[in-house]
Amino acid sequence: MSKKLEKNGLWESSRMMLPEHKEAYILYQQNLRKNSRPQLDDQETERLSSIIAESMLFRKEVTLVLFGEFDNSELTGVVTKIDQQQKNVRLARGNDFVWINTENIIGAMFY
Amino acid sequence: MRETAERVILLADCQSFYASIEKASHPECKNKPVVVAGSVERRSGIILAACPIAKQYGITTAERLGIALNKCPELVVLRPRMQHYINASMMITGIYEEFTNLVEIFSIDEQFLDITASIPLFGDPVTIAKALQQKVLLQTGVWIRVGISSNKMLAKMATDIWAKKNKDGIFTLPKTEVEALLWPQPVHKMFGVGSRMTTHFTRLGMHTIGDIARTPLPRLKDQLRFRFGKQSDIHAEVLWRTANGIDDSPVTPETFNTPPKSVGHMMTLPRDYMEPWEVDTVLLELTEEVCRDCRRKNYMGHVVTVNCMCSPYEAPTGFSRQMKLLDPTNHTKTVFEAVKQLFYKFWDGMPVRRVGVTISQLMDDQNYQLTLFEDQIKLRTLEKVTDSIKNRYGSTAIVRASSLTAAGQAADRSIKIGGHYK
Repeated sequence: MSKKLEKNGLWESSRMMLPEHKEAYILYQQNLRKNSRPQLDDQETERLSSIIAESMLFRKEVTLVLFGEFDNSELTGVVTKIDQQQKNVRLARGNDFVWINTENIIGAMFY
Repeated sequence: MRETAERVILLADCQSFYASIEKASHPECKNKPVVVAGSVERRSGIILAACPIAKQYGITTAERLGIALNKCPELVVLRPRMQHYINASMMITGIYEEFTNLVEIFSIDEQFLDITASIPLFGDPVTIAKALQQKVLLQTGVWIRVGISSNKMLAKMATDIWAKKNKDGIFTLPKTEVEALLWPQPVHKMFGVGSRMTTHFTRLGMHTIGDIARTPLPRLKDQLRFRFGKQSDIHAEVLWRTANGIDDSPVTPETFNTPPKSVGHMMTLPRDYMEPWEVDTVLLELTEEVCRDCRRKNYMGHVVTVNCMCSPYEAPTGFSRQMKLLDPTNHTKTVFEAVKQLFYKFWDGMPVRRVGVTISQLMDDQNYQLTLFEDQIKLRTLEKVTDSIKNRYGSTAIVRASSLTAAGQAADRSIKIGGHYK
């Protein structure tokens, strides 16, 4: 079977579209999928802080959910430092570590 | 595909799209014949769109501006604004998406809608089509014509053959009516049949769409194979399915998320280029654009293609040739060497009218082959810097010195989309 006779093949091969139009549409579709930053209430913020503190005190491995414009991501590690001035949390992962802005943390859990 | 429930597909087509948009922006031209046309000096002086009033004078799309002006001396000729049309088209897509999430763009002025699941919410197909027409007219000033059927092919033909011609701009072509309505239509009205194919069908004794539909597929394949050779089997099946109104292709909004197969740029030159240094200038500019696109999208290409068409227009010569590079790359200088090599191997020395550069067999550019004698890191950094300057301050913020010569087209290209002004 030829590709032209399968799925959307016939229309794909006869479509006439300016590359600029295509790009504008791809961007438009991406923006439709954009997440808005969740507003955490005080209780939830407190719960997250206690989990982060617990991880640092007892060196427990924690998984943090980080906000992303298009996709949220998860990072697992042990919290080794909390910088209250800069509002950063240092997450150690093996021999490596990352600094995470607390504003981006929208979830935390122990497994 | 869903076999049980019949789908409801619309094809919405914008009437004289560019001209309608311009009329909405120029209310003083409301009752005047308006066309949108490129400039004669730049060899793009053809009618891109003519409003219904202009069409009454016999002006047709793709006609030369001079001929159109002869037919109607009081014609209002407006310069195209391509970016504006793209924005308007996107706005129309947005309106369609208020009714269904299944909207597929077919061209700047035609879009498919699958409204099967929207009927319980918004009413029967004709009601939805009318609502679409009103909304689009109110928000953009464009009149849309809507073909309604159970698949994309029939919806398309419902629009082209009937909805564009009738007063309401809406036509329903049910699958059950294909034999009664579609089959008596002449062959040239069928989607995918142009003037040359019409001639072939006439020679085969097929004059109506029904003649094609009623021919058993194996026989049609044999007949076309006799004319076009072995490669025509697929074409024969496409035509046979079209004539019978068979099409199970889904409305696919996400179709543009698939990675591209090639990246290319092409341009018609404002005058014929005869000197090699002139041709080199545009070849380098095109190569730079292609490579910059690739770098932006994180691709490298393995195959370089060069297209060329030479004057005279009536008896053009030209070629389209490709070669494989030693390693995949998106580096302008490397690609340009290959482009030049190809061009000078096949150019017959005739004045060049149109050239194009494409790279294909794309792959991710994160892993690349190191070479012994080239400082690739340095080259990549240099291109990264020029790209970022262009991204920030516009594509003419930094250009090669040759682009500043009389042959250079970079500045002109940067203010155009698809060969017409933004």
